Amino acid sequence: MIARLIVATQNTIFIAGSAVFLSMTIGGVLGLISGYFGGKSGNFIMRIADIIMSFPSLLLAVIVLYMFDPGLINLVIVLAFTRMPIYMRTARAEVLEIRERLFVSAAISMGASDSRVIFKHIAPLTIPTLITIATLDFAFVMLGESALSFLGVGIQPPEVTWGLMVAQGRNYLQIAWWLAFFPGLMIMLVALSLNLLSSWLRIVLDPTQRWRLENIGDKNE
Amino acid sequence: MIISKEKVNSSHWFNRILSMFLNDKLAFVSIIFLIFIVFLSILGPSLINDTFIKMNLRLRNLEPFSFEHHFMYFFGEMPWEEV
Repeated sequence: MIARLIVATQNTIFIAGSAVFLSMTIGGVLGLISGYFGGKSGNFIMRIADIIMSFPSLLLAVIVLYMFDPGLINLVIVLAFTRMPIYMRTARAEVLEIRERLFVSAAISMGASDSRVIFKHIAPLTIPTLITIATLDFAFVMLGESALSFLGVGIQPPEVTWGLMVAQGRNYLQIAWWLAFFPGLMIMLVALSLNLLSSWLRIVLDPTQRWRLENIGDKNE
Repeated sequence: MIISKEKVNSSHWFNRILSMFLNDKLAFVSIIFLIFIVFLSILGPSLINDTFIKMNLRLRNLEPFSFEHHFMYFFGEMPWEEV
């Protein structure tokens, strides 16, 4: 059981990690572009985000994974795609506010190119927010992957993830509860610690809140 | 105030992050757990002895928390019927 859990850890972390990374980078860049340029292209990107958001994500995943073969890569792509709008919207909202600040106007008036303004001046200020969302989203993606594996369209049996272990264990719940309990416990613990970590990160990455965690005025510092 | 600023800047970044973690014990515990999980996911599969990956029909349906067997069976064992 423990050996199986450890092997499953690799798949679970790989899927959730790469899906979150993909959706954060692609969604973040799209949000930056849409927020900075605005206008038609910006609106077009946001309408795409609306379309993705209004379609039930699990249903989309089930359909896509039912049509194509449900492998690791497809699962990662589907999960990344369905979680993308959150990053797009957050990045856009941040950019809309940052764009109006003085240092951005200064950079533009000094002749900085669009890509330089976006990636050198605006992006560093949006990244803390995006990272905080990503840690929360990691837990969501892991649970989503578990749900898909539970339905049988995620990872296929010779491979194993925590969600799949729970799915396989449910047939034996009455006689062997430990089959579903321990992988479920792992999912819960990782999701819980990611939530706790993200609330810590939110405070640390915010310069106006950071003093709450610093020992200011401490003589040993 | 310049002196205290220098003092803050002089402390190593690792110590600063550590002290921020120590002010939030739950986050500290969770980051340790997550680092452990990441190590497990990267190194774990290569560390497991092959005997623990093969079916062990003698121990099938072993209940968890028994100290009589190897600790790799501490969480119980599968029924090995169709899996």
